[in-house]
Amino acid sequence: MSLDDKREEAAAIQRRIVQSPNAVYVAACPGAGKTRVLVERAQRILSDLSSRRGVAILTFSNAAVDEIEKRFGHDYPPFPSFLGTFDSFLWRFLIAPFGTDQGVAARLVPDLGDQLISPTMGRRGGKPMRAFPLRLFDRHTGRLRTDLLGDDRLLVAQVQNAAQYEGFASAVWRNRKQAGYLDYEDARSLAQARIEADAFRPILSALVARFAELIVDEAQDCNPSDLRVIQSLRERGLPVSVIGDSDQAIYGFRHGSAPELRRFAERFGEGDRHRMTGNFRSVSGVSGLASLFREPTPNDEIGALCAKEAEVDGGYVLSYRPYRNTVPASVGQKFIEILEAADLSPFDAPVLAHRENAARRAVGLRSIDRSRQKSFAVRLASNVAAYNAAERHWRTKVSAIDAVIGQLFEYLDLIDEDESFHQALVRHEVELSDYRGAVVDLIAEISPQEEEAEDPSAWLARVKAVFEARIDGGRSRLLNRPRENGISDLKSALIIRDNASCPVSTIHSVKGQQFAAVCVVIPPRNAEELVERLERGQIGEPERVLYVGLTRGQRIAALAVPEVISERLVAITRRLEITFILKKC
Amino acid sequence: MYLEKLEIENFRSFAKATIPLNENLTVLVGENNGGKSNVIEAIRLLTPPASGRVDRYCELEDLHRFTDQKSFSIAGRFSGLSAAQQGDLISLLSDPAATSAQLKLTCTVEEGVAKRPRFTGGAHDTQPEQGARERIRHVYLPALRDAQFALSSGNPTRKLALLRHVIPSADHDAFRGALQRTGTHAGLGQVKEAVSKELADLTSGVREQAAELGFSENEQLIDIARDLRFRLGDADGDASEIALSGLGFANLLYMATIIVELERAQESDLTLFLVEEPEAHLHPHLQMSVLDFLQERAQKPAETVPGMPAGKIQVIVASHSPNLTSWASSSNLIALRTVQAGQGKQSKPLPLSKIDLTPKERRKIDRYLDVTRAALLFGGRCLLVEGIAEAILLPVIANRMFEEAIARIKESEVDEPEKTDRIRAEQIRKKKFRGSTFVPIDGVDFEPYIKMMLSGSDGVRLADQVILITDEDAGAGTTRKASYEKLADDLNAADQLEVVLSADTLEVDLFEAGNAAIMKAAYLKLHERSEVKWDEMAALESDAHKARIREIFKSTRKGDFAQELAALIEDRAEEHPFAPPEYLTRAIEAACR
Repeated sequence: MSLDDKREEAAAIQRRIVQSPNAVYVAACPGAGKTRVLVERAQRILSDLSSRRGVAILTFSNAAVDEIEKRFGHDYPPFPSFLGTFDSFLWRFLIAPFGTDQGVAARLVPDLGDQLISPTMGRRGGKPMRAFPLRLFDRHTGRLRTDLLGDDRLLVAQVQNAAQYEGFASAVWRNRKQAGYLDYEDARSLAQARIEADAFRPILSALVARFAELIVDEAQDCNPSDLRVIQSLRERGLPVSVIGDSDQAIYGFRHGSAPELRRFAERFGEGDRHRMTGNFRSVSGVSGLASLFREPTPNDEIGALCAKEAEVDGGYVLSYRPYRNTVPASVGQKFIEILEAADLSPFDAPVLAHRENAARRAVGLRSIDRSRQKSFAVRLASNVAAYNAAERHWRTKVSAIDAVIGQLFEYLDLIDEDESFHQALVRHEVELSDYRGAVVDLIAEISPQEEEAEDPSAWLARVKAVFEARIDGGRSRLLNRPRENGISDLKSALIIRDNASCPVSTIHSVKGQQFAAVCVVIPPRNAEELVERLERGQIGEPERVLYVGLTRGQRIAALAVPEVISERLVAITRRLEITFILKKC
Repeated sequence: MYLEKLEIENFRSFAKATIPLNENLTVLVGENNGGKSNVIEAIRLLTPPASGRVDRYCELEDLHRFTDQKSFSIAGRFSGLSAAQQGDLISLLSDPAATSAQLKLTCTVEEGVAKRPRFTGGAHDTQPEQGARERIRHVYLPALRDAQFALSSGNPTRKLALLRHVIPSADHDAFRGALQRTGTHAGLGQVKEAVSKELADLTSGVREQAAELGFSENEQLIDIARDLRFRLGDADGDASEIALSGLGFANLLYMATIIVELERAQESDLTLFLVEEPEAHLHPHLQMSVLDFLQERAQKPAETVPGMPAGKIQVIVASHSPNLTSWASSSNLIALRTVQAGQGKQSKPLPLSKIDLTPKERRKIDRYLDVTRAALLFGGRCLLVEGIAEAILLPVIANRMFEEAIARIKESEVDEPEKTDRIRAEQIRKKKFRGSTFVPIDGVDFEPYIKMMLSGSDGVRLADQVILITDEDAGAGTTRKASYEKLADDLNAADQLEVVLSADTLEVDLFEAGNAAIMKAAYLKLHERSEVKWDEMAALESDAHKARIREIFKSTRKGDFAQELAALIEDRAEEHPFAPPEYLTRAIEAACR
């Protein structure tokens, strides 16, 4: 079959999905035009409706919401249609209007678990005990969740007297519940209970009457309880279309489950299940390299349907020699060389990894130590840098602004010892949106100038002066010069990245997006285990994460691996007849 | 879905009030400043207008005058939601059973300025979904003061709204193009020449100017609206300029231009049609047809095309007109009364449907509330009498009493300032009496009326004072007065009822009060040849003539007799002295207290 025929065939499948009068189940490979089909289907349904009803489109990340919103453009579906994350759907329709089961207004406090608790809080005298985040304790029993402690030995050592904490933690959880404070996890389980409660039957019927169809995007990220919600609505007569790709299921941590999704698919009739296999996004070299991390499906090749393909385009394996057992900056340099040869801007070519630090190392940035509580000044510098990073999406910028507002609250001492920032917002009856404009100005004023990036003390002195001039009162000692390792932290936070370097990101946060090129970094630590699994033909979540990362690339996908496994990796690819270019760096 | 009730706090004349509304038609009645318009204003703020052009914003004056709080609120509860409406208004639902939805406006006043109102919904006052509030809209028909002006050439607003409503915005350019005038007539050229010559002379020393007269090259819809004129006339005759037609018809035309917007009702679930004083400048027949129209719109079964907005129209009318109010059932009426509370005054609603009447009693009242009797609804002091004769004679008798009293004061020998004061006091009593409503109930069963006038909640009643004139029921002993007084007592309104008992029938009592001469004169005007019959009666002994009077008046129209007698009382001729029976004097005294 010629490329044109393949493209025509893929387009025909797309048309069938858009036009199908029945709700559909769509399995789509990366680059198949999933979002386009979803948007066109929603538009088709809305244009058929001469009526009042709308379409609900649910997805799992704000980035995906933004992407869909962008595709709708000016035809963005008006009320009563809905576009948002699964969580916001549940919040808006099942929780906010009705309050909590305790009969009080429900208030979403996403950072509820960040609140620090200690049994000695509020007590006078005595030696204060170290404070831990509330999230380390189970919200129902107050029990210490050892599964969350990780390898923070300091932490493990300190919680010897856990019982003292546990009683305190369970009381705090209880108080929060009485006050109507919910985080996403609380909200999700409350919504789940309501879906199944008789008292809420009229609400389900109301949703069925409101929406002509519910379209669930990125369905592979549904966990079993999400699927139950969808199934409940479906049983009430609401047509539910589902679009997803089980090869891209990377949310095991929120119990996203591919097998559940397959069972769910079986509830659709044969004619209502569709497969979109053509890849319009990536060149064959890219999709070929990515297929290394995908479960082989018989009779089902991922066909590259990309029309133009330059000689330099395709898959690359970058073999690196670890530096101090981590990823060296030579990876980023080699990737830049490839980009230059292909005449691509680094701006549209992120370096990705499962964890952000591996990606940071690959472009020569220091890794971020998240376990250590950082000083006010370092956090401020990071927030300002996050806002200023040119490649960031507006939503990222907004969260950077909000983080600075949180720091201003801290500066003005408006956050009580026993509450989180969002709880303080609720208590002071303040809306973040009231302050964002002013804070953007403040950020512009305190953004580091070139010479200050090298001289953290100078920057800090200027920021302190700005704060003192602009803000009455407040704790300006928070901006005093930090200790020595604080200064080095501050220095790395202040680094101004120029446009000639690649943005860095986790793979999870670029899900659903596309770039001209990507570089996916495998750090030395997990490399051998990975290659062993590949040799055995095992595909699990770590592999699917890499698959998602590589398939973001349109023209170039580079996979950076430590040299110890490059030989074995090459052997596997030969066997699978995958072609790529090997480069040493 | 319909607006079931409004809960208003600290808004204009309301301190705190709940106003229940009927599913189809609600007529708000009451004295001036009673708060009728404020109910309509509240709905105008709570819901967006169907035209999309908001023309009512929260203002400082909206805060109740007698409150020390700094915010006011208006909450509407909507009931009877279909599943689709429940879905759209999910963010406003009061409970998971989805039986009703609540939308609330709260406006804070800070530093002498009303801030932008905040809209919340549901049981926990959470933020409504964007777009939910637009499901319920209103069309507002203001009180008509000068429809001719509103539709005249200088005032394009109404005409522009009409054009915008009727012509889709995509066609505005074509519309403008088709009506664009050329302005190429030779006459315009001559004007240009004439003006330009002078202008050139005037400006030649500075910067020479040229001028010409023409139409705007870029005429907007509003320019066209300004130049368009309504013409109005009989359907089969020639139409003429609106300024030449009657004010009443001009008003109806104005109403029609607004009612056109009701067609939009199809696009929303509920349209609240708010009509203020539709009676202005309309004679009773036109008022009737307006009410018919309103009722028809309100009762029009909501289109129930599945999946389409319900298109329900709920009509809320504020009216002073006894014609309109007497036509609506009492269960559609809400009286608004002003009550004194502490230092200030506030409006209180009294829904007549909430008054505890048996269905039979309510039917009776509905039948009786004709144009004359509908005056009862406007409150104040009422005098309830049995028949038409009392109703005709009481005001005349009272008038004569007051005039005689004033004449006596004038002739008395007191000091001049004292005299002036006493005359003024008497005039005030007279005015008070005239402010009372006289209602003959054409019967003797006062009970439903007492209930209607004196029942109330929250210290609000239709009447401030009810004075009732009746005789003791000979058959049932002395129970009638006592039972009415007990009824009033049960309604916690013992002080608001005064039952004045007559000794016998009105005619007998008048006769007994020493009015033989004037009654004879009136009687003979009706029965010229019956002088002998009258004289024979007058000659009888006391108890015997009473029976005879009753007998005579059985064959005489009491109303006609009362009219004749009233005329004679008014004339105040020397030969016809008149002395009111004692109980009528008491009733009159009670009415001007």
